[in-house]
Amino acid sequence: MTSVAEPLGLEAGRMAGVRFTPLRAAAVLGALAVLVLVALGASVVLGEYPVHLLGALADPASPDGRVLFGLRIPRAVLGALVGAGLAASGSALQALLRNPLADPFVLGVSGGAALGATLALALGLLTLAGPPLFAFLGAVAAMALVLAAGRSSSPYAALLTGVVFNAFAAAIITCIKTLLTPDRLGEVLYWLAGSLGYERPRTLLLGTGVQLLALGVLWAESARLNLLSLGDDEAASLGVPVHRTRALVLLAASLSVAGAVALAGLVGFVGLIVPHLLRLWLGPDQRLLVPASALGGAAFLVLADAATRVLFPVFHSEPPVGVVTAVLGGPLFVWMLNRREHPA
Amino acid sequence: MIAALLAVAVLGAGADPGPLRTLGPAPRGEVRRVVTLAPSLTDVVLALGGGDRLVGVSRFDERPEVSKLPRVGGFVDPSVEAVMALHPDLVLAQPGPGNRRAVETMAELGATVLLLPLGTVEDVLAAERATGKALGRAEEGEALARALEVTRARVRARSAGTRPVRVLLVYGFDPLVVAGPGGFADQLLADAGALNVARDAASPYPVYSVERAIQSQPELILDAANTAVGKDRVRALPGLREARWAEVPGQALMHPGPALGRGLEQLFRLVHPEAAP
Amino acid sequence: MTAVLQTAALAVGYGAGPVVSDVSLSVASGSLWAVLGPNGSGKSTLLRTILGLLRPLRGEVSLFGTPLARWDRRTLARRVAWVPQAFDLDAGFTGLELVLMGRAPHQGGWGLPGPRDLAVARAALAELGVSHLAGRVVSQLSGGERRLLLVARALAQEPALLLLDEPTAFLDLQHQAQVLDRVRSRVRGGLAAIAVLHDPNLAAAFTDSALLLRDGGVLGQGPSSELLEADRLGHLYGLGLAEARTETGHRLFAPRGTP
Repeated sequence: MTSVAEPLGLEAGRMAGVRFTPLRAAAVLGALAVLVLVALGASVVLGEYPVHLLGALADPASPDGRVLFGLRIPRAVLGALVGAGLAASGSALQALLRNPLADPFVLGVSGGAALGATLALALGLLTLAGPPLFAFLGAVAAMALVLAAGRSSSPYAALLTGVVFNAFAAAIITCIKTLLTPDRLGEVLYWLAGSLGYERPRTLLLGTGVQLLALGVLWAESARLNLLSLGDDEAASLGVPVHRTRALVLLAASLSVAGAVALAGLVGFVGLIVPHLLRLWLGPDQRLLVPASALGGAAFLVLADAATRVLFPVFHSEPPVGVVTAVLGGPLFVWMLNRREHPA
Repeated sequence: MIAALLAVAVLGAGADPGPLRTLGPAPRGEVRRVVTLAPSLTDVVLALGGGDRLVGVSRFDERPEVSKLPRVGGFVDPSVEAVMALHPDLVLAQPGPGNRRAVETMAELGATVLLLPLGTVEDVLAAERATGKALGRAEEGEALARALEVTRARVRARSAGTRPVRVLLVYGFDPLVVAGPGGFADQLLADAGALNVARDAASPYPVYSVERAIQSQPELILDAANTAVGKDRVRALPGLREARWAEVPGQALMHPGPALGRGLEQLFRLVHPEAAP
Repeated sequence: MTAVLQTAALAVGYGAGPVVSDVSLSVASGSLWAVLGPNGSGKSTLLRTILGLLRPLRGEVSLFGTPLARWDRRTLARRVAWVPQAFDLDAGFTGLELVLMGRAPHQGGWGLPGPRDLAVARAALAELGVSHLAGRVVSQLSGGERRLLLVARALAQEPALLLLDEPTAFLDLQHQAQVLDRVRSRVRGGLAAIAVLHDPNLAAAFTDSALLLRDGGVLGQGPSSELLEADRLGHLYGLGLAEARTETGHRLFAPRGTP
């Protein structure tokens, strides 16, 4: 907290105790944005194909240029999109469900997406939009179900419906898996583990639009989310339209998760770890956490994906990025839990 | 509705993976650098005498001839970058929904990709011919294909006079994966004068019901499995333990490719041991 | 003065059956009401219903002359503030951030505090003697300190009607007196307040009027000086009470038979 007096009357200096100020927000988000750029930069130079950056930039039609613009950049952008969506949704849901250990996949949306994609892969759908389109449709169906349940007055109704739906979807997926031939099975397993592929610019544009819309709504509701995290009744007494806010947040978070899972499969831990770590640093204010999580999640996933490419010579295969996030996220998660139990 | 979807999934699990075709630009000049994304395709290239042009193979390739070559990934996850880093003139791939995006990306980046399905014997013949043409060894390709056709004709002739033997060809015991209808194994079984008892299954490599296998009363059970896990239990089952059990030597019936001719002859000997070799 | 709060034959409960019925209350501005009664007599339920968090089972509630059902949540929050009884405050907000939330009904979508918001919040903290908690994280504070912050938040809302549910729980004697004293001082300035209290002595010392709830109904309501006396309170709580007067003229009640 600085002691610079802002001419607009928002004296940051007198605000000991208030952590969300435009100045601090700009500083934090700016730092995270730089981190994202660094991650994108690292991601663009790492990979099996030795890209000469200057040559690639000078001549986009050259092989180096085509790898840079056709492979590295789309994949990095996708990683940023998916990471941003999962982390920001995770943060919002942790506030909404008043549980700092909530995960965006708890909504049932991931189960619906996984079920849709598995069906598409099982049917051997050759249309380009096969798994992503089916995943999105499955996610939307799950979203509708969960929102309908969320209309009841209990805040846990939506959560329980999501958990039950996930279990249901997992059972159907297991059933389908047993019916599949081994090669199809491999495809399904690979998709479910979460990985970043090479999407066309049009798909990326669509994905960006979806995330911008969803995250925009989440950020707009973030002040009300803060109040909601105190409790439904207290929030209502402070003027928050509880049902409407909850429905909006659930809808936006589901949309974001649906968009992310449709393109990348079930990439775990990002939605849990990133918001939680940022909360430890920045405090629980969602006005700051939602955008910070988006940026942090983008950087995290882009770096994890770069790690998968670096691991290729070891395994002769790029592990699905969901594996790397889990390997990184697991120990981090345990460490976080420990901190909660025994704050230093 | 769930049941209907599942039924479609099951039937669709054996759906046609797509025709033989080329993606990307036509090869310029002679093809000197070849990457294969499946061991069967490596077999084809080696059989055509193009082994010296191979620069990259899948991580499942085990042939000693390619042991020194860099690996570029698996069936569902070939690494586009690893493939492009080898600057291939030609990429050979088996089409499937999992690698579709990857091979399309390779084509967009300027690689010539030859998609070769290998589901049936006819697929294998077409693949051998097409690969031969692409490598500039059309005659060798034609010769390979003709050899297999000739072998098939010969075996068919010899099995013509025999009584069909009820056969179950097993690829794995736990779960029970067998050769179903529509694949090359089924076709070769027919050539060899065998009756595939699993021809009522839904796909070429189904997970088969053990009870159905028992009920079908096979006379001969061919073990083409990689591991013996679960074999003892299946072998002890009534209805199956009375059958004649024989191990299929080698990998010829696992990989659709140039070795199918040899595999067919092995098959015939196993099915009709009484016929003169 | 128009009644700030008016109820007519109000019955409240959670749906199975009314916890208390036939409450007809009229609270004017500048008055401080105590609500007394044994556990489970519906005191908190009554406050929640007045606030609009629970639907009335029967009867009517109107605030500032308008029926409750016609009030918009946000507009209502500018006039009515609530200090809840139970709270589950694991959030990592600081004291000042928490109190600033009381300004939310008066602010725009982002909740960015203007200079007036800050001034009001700080004044509320000072009024309750907890300015030193402004920068402390709430989850690390004691129950009493959190309660004081909740009262400060309600005061920061600048309400015309203040509903307090057991505001003195967890507080030491000094702070119990301080809270009620501050509320009383605001009441003299025109605020209307209703406080659920568990201690009849505090009610006798600080409040003008009282509402006694027992056995699903109203045992009595009226000026505290008349209503709060040993027999009736004894009946209310179901035990014998003795009454005494201090040298300053305050009345005290204690269970009869205790040393």
